[in-house]
Amino acid sequence: MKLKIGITCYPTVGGSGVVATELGKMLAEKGHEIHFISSSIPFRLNKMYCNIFYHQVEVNSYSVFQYPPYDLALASKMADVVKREKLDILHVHYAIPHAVCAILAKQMSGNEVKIVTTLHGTDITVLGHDPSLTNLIKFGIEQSDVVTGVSNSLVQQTHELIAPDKEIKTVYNFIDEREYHKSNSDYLKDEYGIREDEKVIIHVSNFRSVKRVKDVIQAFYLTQKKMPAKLLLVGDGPEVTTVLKLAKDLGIDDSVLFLGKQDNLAELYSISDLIFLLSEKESFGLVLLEAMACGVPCIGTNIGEFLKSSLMGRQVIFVNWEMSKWLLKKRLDF
Amino acid sequence: MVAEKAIGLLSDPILHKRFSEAALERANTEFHSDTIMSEYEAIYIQALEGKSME
Repeated sequence: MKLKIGITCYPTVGGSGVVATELGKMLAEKGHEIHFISSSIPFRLNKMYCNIFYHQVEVNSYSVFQYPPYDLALASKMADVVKREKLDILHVHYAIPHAVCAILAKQMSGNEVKIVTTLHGTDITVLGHDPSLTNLIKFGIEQSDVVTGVSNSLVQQTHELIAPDKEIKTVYNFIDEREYHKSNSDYLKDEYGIREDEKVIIHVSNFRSVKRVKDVIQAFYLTQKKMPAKLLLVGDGPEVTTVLKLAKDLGIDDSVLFLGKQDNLAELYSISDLIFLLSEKESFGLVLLEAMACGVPCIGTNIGEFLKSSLMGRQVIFVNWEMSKWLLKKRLDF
Repeated sequence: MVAEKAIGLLSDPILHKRFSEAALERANTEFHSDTIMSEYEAIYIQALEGKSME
């Protein structure tokens, strides 16, 4: 059964944008017709497919609007595409605003399009605490035909915070194995000045405080005292300056390589011996899965039901976050 | 504790290899893209047929 599927996501935002785009590409390869409806072309849509279409949402800043009306422009574009292309499914990522836009678009189009909403985390874990938005999130969830969440802990949290009268199914995130696999990238070690005897630890994140990158630096500081090692920091965000200052204060700035945002993560994972993900909170932890697909063992904080139940095993060592914080504060020397 | 675990893993090549192989195995089975995509396809079909998710 070939379906016509509209997909809406934030095209440039972390895990959700990646998963939405990869899913669209794979569904297209199976013969479904895919219509991306988003504000810019998804950044992972890097190849031509004859059955993938892109419909850009243009948000105009008319002076009559105090704020540019992204959600209304999106709902209007969705309704156009649903009607013209006779879509079977609108698969939207994030309850607000995207599910709510899809509900409006369905009403506008008059078509029997089905709405599938995937919850990724921040729409629930952050916005769910705002009482002014709870009812809107609840509405978006309850009026969707099917709702999924990327982890068991997220589904549980949604029921606790929002209490929707709706079943939510867990469907895990995934990665494209064709992109994430171990390759011979040893030349990169030479280019980064990493010696043969040095171990490589990698951390990939958006450098927000919730990622606890300063703990990564502290843990690396203790590790490199016992064995020659380099730390690769990949990504960018608000904590970069303080993180690099900490590395300098600890006298390890020569061993900490800040690479900024990088596209070819698989190559960087391929030269890495270990990944640290010491976040205070994660809905899924896609970078761990990416690293695992390249054969990199992980050390992560024990941060959610999903990671506890789904990634538990010999490939991931968990550390209780509160305990690691306390230990690192004490600067214990292992 | 983090550093202790890291040092333990990095200084034991056999343990490191086991972890590495287990990571590959897990990523390529339970979280394989084909597995997850099939789940979404089933969800689309169920949505179209108006069935509740079981």
